[in-house]
Amino acid sequence: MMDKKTMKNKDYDEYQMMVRYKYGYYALFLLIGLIVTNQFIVAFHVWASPFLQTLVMLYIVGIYLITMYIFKNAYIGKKERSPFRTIAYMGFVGVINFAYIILLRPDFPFYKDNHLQDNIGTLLAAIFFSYISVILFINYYINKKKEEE
Amino acid sequence: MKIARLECDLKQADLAAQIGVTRQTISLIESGDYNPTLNLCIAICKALGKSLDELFWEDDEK
Repeated sequence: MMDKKTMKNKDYDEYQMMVRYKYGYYALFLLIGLIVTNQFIVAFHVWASPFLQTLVMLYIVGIYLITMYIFKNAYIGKKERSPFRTIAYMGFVGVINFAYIILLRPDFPFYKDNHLQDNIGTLLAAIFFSYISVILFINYYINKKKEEE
Repeated sequence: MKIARLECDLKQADLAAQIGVTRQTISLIESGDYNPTLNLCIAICKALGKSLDELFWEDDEK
């Protein structure tokens, strides 16, 4: 039997673990669906390199997982009382990626000859980290409002 | 459970910290949106000084 001491040592509590398993399971099916759908699309039009196709599919699954984890309060571990450190860190990484695109690669096309270019990875990373930062912030206020009620 | 917690003059966050879960988990248990495991029920009972029966048993109202 898991005692109180053991529960205190874990990064996530049992509800958070349950949510993570549950949406991880859903994400697996989402990934399978995306792979099958992509195979149909690629049969008619190759929209990106195989590497980028994989990256985009994983990206969609990652966005889904992160969104569910955050809004179900299973993203930040129980030891971290305030999400602001994570918000700042993710926001910073997002801004660095956006800065890299704007300052160092301003005229590098993301879409060329009916193909997404591999360098879109930086833009996807910028959106991903900024997105985490924004929804963590939104969720913080949702929780705060619920707490007040 | 909420009444027992208030009797102990504890906030959700205090109880959560005592038993090693998040405040949101305590909130979900109190609102009936999450059924905790027996381990967590026991930890809550010990923290609030109540028995499992007192906190979690519901009599069928006839």
